[in-house]
Amino acid sequence: MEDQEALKQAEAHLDHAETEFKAAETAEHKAEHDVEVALEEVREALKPHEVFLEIATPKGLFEGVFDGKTKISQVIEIVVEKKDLNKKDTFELVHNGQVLQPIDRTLESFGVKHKAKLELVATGSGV
Amino acid sequence: MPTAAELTVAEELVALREICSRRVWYLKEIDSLQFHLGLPARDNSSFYLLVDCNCYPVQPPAWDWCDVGGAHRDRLSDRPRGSGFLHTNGVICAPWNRLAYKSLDARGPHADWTIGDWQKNSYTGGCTTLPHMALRVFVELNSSRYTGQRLG
Repeated sequence: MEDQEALKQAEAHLDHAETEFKAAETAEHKAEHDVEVALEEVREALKPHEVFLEIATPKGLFEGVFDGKTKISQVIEIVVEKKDLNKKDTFELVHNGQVLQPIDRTLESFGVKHKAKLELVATGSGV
Repeated sequence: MPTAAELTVAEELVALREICSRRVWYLKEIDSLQFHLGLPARDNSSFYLLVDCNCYPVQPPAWDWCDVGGAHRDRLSDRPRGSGFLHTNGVICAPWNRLAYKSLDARGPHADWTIGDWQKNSYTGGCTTLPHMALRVFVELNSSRYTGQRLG
């Protein structure tokens, strides 16, 4: 009898844990959706000369709005600072597989406009 | 008690998880030291890697091309053709890939590198963490150096 009671209690705990897990999942999905909506609002609010950049960095994602006339070197400097990357490393900014060099050129000169996905990668090569 | 390798991998996977989630790159953590990563290439195909971080960061991880299921690591058709980086031996040729060392893997192009010095090797540059390495592979697969072909 005691075993059955313990089993029932364990089942009740399991049901409760599953319910909590589902609630957490729902909350997580809602939060993700809210973030997407907020990002879309940011994108829609862009002025014509502004660019929304989502940059994958070695320390995770960086998102920010830049003026199209911002130099690549300035973008790299800001992202390295904000993501607390090692300033001694040399980084390259990449858009659609193209390394954005020379870095004294502007975002718009490389055709980066509206919203764009880029990668910030440390130099280092295969040989 | 977690090992130094497990602690390092756990810390570095935080950023990689975030990137994979947003970019919809495939990431499956097999255990505390191994993961399966899928990266899109510029021709809209995908390539997969099994990454083994045993002894990391004392030694670099092993970045091994594999199939979508992670079951095969020996097929040329799972390996991209491209630059010296996407080496015709079928391995990523960089000091931060354990398989590039001849002393550890017969396919390794380099007998002249010392594995214990991988972080100081000038070709490593700043590629010293797992997200650095994953981003470097992604960029290579999306550059014009990748020919759009496979080794087999």
